[in-house]
Amino acid sequence: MAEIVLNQVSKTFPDGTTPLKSASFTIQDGEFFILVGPSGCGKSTLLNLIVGLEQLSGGEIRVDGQLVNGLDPKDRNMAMVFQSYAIYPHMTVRENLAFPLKLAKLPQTEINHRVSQAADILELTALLDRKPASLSGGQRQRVAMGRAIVREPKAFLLDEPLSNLDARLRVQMRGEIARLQKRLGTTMLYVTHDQTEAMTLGDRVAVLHQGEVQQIGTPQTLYQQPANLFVAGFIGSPGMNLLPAQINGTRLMLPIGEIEPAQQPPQTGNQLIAGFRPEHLRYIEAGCESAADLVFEATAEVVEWLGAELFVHFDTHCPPAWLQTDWPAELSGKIHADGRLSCVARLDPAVSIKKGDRLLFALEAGKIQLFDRQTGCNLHNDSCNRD
Amino acid sequence: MKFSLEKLFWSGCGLLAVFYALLPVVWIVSLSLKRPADLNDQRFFASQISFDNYRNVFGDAQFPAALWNSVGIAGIATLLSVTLAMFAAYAIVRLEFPGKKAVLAGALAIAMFPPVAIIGPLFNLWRLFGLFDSWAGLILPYMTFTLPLAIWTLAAFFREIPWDLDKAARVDGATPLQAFIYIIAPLAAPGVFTSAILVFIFAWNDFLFATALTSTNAARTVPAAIAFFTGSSQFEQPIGSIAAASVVVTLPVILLVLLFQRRIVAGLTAGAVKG
Repeated sequence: MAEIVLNQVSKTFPDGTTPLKSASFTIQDGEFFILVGPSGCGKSTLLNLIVGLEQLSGGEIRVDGQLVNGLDPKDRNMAMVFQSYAIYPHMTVRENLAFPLKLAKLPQTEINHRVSQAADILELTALLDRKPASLSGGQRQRVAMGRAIVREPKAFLLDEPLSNLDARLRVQMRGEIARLQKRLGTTMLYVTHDQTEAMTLGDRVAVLHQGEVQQIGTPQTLYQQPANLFVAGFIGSPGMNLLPAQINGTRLMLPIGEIEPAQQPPQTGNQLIAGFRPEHLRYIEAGCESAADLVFEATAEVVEWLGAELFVHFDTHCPPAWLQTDWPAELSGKIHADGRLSCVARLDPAVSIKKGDRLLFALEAGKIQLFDRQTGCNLHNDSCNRD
Repeated sequence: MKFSLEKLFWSGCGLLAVFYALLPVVWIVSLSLKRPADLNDQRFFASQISFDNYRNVFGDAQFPAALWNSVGIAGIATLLSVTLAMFAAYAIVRLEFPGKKAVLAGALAIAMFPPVAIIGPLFNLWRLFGLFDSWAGLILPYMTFTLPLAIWTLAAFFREIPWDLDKAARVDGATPLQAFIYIIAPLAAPGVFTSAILVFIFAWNDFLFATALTSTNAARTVPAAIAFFTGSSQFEQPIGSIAAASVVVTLPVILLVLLFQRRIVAGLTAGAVKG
């Protein structure tokens, strides 16, 4: 059990690459904390720094108030689960589990007790005398977890532990890890690139991008109040629809129409970016629109029926004058040369929609979030620290 | 039909190669089993099997001493060379240090160096240092000339071992040395055996250093000793004794390879990571 405090932690490799610029946050005692981000965002580096496999270039890490910067990994009493599991192939499952305890020079009776206890928790008892080569992926995963919990460490660090499993097993192990963490109550730091894992597992989630922490918060906060464009696009599946926008007096001009915004944005230039979640688009019949809504017509380009939900992709068109503007990468990457911009709506799967149908959508003004064009910051959210 | 023809062709080729390689060995064995009087009977197989040659060889003081020298010198050279090479190869694979490429290139250059070119200077040096005709005097050059081979072989094996395993061991509470001894070395065992056998065979078979750097039974190894064999009388040819000694000196190598070939081939890392 431990509280881990990171203060302006940074890492620069000898070749000049900087996978981690400056990270400062606190992982509470007993918290399930997630680091999420696309590959190459620095999340694994951060994990290696905390466990001590790599040396910090700047800043400090404290565990329970104690500075651990120069401490060898073996003296930090943290357990790590690797993406490749890293089970020792020449040892049986029992020897694998006992290895950290043997190194700690525990008495044999204590070792036996802890190994059988861990094997019990993870349902490994029947496999204790097998070699890793004869285990399935899920079983290997459990052995790796077992080797972590036998030590009763201060914290668990998991580096993409589920990414080598197939989809069904991943969902099952995800649940098991969540239960295990609740049962043990140990601080857990979990690295993943999968935002579903991040949202379902985490007490709090830190979103990393290009070596910088973009936002830290509960899954709800990240989803409902993304601090900036990156978080808005990354969290959620599919991510937030982003559209270029222009302020004209008090009206908000969008490629899909114009509307009176629910909250006047602070004056930061008249071009900005509007975002809304796919589920906030309502499919309506003609004549049912209410005054507060932005109502527009679109053609269904792609229809994805998933049973519990229905995704309809449609195109909007940027006014040609707006194409001259320098839009941030999160948006400009999606605008085609002819101004075409794809959006997606999440609808009730009961409605029958075919490709090519003309649809009427309504969007509530209150659901639209506005982002600064230059900084990418959410204009109604103070937590943005992107410079 | 085509399949069986192809099979026949390849089996034939295999048999031919084995026959070609084993013919001299069979000849030597047959010679060693002939009675001294039958040595020139121009038969391939001994007409009457006798162990006189073996008795002669072991009855002479020279051969058992040489055998002991061979076992000791080759064994110690192998142990030293493989141990040093393990540390060197691990450092080369896992660490980033300046001159890493130079070390590997240097090792390769030493392996290419013709040993005969240094025999003269070495002879003088060893006499100066008092290493001439001593075990150490042979162990040193054997170790030196086999180190490059051992380093390259072991480096290839260490490269195959996932780095996550060292990291996991370190996080599990091992010092770097413990991680190496408990995790890396056992996993590199096939590589260690392979290079140990190669080093041992080199030292065991060497004739050049053994004849040039020794003069008495104190350090003369079997290949050199065989060259000094004489018949029991000056009218008798030592061919029978030479054949018997050759068979005796070949056996350990054959045994080694047969014993450890499964070990060499077995991929111990199976199951370490996904796959």
